[in-house]
Amino acid sequence: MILPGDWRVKPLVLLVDDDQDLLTALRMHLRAQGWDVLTAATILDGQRLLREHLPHVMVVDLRLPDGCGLDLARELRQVADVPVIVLTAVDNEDVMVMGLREIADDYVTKPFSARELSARIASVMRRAWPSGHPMASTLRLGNGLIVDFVRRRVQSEHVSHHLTPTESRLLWLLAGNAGHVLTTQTLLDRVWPAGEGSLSSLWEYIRRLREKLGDDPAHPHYIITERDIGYRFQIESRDAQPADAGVTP
Amino acid sequence: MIGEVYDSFDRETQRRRFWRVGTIGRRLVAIVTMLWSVRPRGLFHANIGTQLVLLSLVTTVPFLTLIVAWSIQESSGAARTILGLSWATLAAVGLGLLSHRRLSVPIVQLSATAQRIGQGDFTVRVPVRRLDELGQLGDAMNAMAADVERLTGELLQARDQLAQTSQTQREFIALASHELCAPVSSLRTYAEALLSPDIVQDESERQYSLQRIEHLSIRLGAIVRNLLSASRIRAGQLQVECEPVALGSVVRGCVDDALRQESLACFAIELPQSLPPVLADGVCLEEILVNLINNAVRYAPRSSPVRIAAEVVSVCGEQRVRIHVNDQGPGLSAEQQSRLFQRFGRVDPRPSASGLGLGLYICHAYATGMGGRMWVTSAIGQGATFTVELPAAATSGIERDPAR
Repeated sequence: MILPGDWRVKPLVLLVDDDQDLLTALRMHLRAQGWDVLTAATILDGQRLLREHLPHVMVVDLRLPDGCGLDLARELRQVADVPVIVLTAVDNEDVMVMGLREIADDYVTKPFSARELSARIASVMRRAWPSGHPMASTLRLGNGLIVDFVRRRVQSEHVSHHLTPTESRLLWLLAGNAGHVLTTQTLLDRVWPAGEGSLSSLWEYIRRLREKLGDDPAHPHYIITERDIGYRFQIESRDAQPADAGVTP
Repeated sequence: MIGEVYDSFDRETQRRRFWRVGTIGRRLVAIVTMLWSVRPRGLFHANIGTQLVLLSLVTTVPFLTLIVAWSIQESSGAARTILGLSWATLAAVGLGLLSHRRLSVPIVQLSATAQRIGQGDFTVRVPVRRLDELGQLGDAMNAMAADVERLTGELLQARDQLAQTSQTQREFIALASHELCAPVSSLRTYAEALLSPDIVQDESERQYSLQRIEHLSIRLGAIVRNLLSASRIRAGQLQVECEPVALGSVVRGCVDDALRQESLACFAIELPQSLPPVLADGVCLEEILVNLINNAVRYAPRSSPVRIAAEVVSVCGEQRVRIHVNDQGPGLSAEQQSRLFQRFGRVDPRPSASGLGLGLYICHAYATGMGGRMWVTSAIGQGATFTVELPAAATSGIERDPAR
C-alpha cells in the first residue's frame, strides 16, 4: 500500500479498561513499541476521545463501569473499519456467541501478558495496514480539499460536506488502500459486513462521494472506476512517496 | 266320543296355537339376532346411562312382545296387558334414566377431572356428594389431586430456588474472575515492564510500578482471604477465640493502615477514656474494623471525616461495647440495607461495580460468632453508621491498653 507522506502517522491505540493500573502499565509497553496510546476508563470517556481522534486499533474491556465494551466498538465501527481487540475476564460462551465474533477481530483473556497483547495488536494492525503505515485521520487531497474522518467532513475552500457513517467507512477503505484496486465484492463485504449491501447501493454511495469530493463522474480525479473489477483511489502523484512504502515501524 | 273329538280338537288348537306362538317367538329371536348383528358399533362408546336404557329396552321388548302376542291369542284382558306393557316399558326407560343419573354422570365427572389433572390443572376437584364406591373414588381422586398440587408447588419452588442459586453462582464466578483476573493482569504487566530493558523510562516510573505491584498484591491477598473466610463461614467452620482486647490500639492500627492506602482520608476518633476491653477475637475484630473503615473511606466525601466512636451500654444487665463507624456518604436505601449483610449482597448490583459482596457478610458472621451483633443505620443522602456491639470483658473498668 502506498500512502502519501503526510497521510502516514504513528499507529494510535485506544485502550479502554476500568482498571487504572492496567492502563498505566500497558501504556508503558505500547509506548515502547513506538505507538501512540490513548486511554479511557469508561464508555463515556471513550466516546469523548473518539470525537477527537480516530485510533488505528482499539483495545477494549468487555466489562466497563457504564456498560459493555462491545457497544463502544460498534460505535467506532460505524465510522471506520478499525480493528478491535476485546479484553475479557470471563471465558463465557454466551459472550463469544453474542457479538464478540461479529465485532472483535481478536480477544485476549485476562490475566494476559503485555507481550501477548502487543503481538496481537501488531498482528491486527498488519492485517489492516500491510505496509505498517496507518493512515492519518485527516487527509489533504490537494486543491485545499481536506477529508476529516473524525468529524466525518469533506472540506474544500468554499464548501463543507458531512459524510454519513457508510460514506465515511467507504472512503476510509478506499483512501487507506490508495493506489490499489478494491474489487466490488471486497467493498461490499467490508463496508456492509452484515451483507445488507448491494451493487446499486455501492454505486449510489460512490456517486455521492464523488459529488462531495467535487469529482466529475465522467472524468473522476480521486475515485477511479476499474471497469468490471472495482474502484481505485488515486492520489496526487506529487504526494505519493513509493520509496517509503516498504518501511515498517 | 264327542268328548274325545272335543279333546282332540282342543289339543289340535292348542298345538297350533303353541306352534304359532313358537313361530312368533322364533321370528322375534331372528329379528333380535338380525338387529344385534346390525347394531351400531358406536353403541358401546355411548355413555353408560344410554347403554343401560338401550339394553333394558332391548332385553324387555322381545319378552313383552311375546306376552302381547300370547295375550292377543288368548283374546282376553288384551287392553289390560297393553296397559301393563306400557308401564313396564316406562319402568324400563325410568330404570335406564336413573342409572344414567346415578352411574354415568359421576363417572363422566371423574373422567373430566382426571383429564384436567392430566393437563396440569391441580386445583380442580370432583364434587363428592355420596358415600358409595363412586364417592370413595371421588374422595381418593381429590386427595390425590391435593397431594399432586402440594408436591408440584414444592417442586416449582425448589426449581425457582435452584435457578436463583445457579444464577447467583454464575454471577459470582464472573465477578470473582473479574476481581481476581484484573489485578493479576496489572501485576503481570507491571512486572513485565520492570523486567524488560526499554519499557520503564525513568526511576520515578520504576518506583511507581513497584508501589503499584505492592498495592495490587495486598488487594489480591485481601480478596483471597475474603473468599476463604466466606467459604469457612458457609461450611460452619468459623472458629473464634475470644479474649479481652483493647479496642483503642486495634482502631488506631486499622486507621494507620487505611491512611497508608488512602493518604487523603480524614478520621475523627472518639473513644471514651474509661472504655473496658472487649471480649473478642483480635484477628476477627481487626478484619471487621478494616472492612468498615475501608467502606466508609470509599463512600465518604473528601470534605468530611470518617467518625469512629465507641460507647458502653448495658443490655439486660450485661455490659457491652458499641463501636460506631460513620460516614457522610450517599447513604443506603432500606432495600440496600436489607441486602447488605447477605452473601454476595452488593450495594451496587450492576455487574460492572467492583467488590464481591463478601466483606460485610463476613463481618456480620464474625460479630455474631463473637457473641455480638452488627447493624446499620442509614438513609439516602444522610450517610451511614455501622455499629458493632460486642460483650465487654469483665474488668475493673480500666482499659489495659499499652498504647494509651
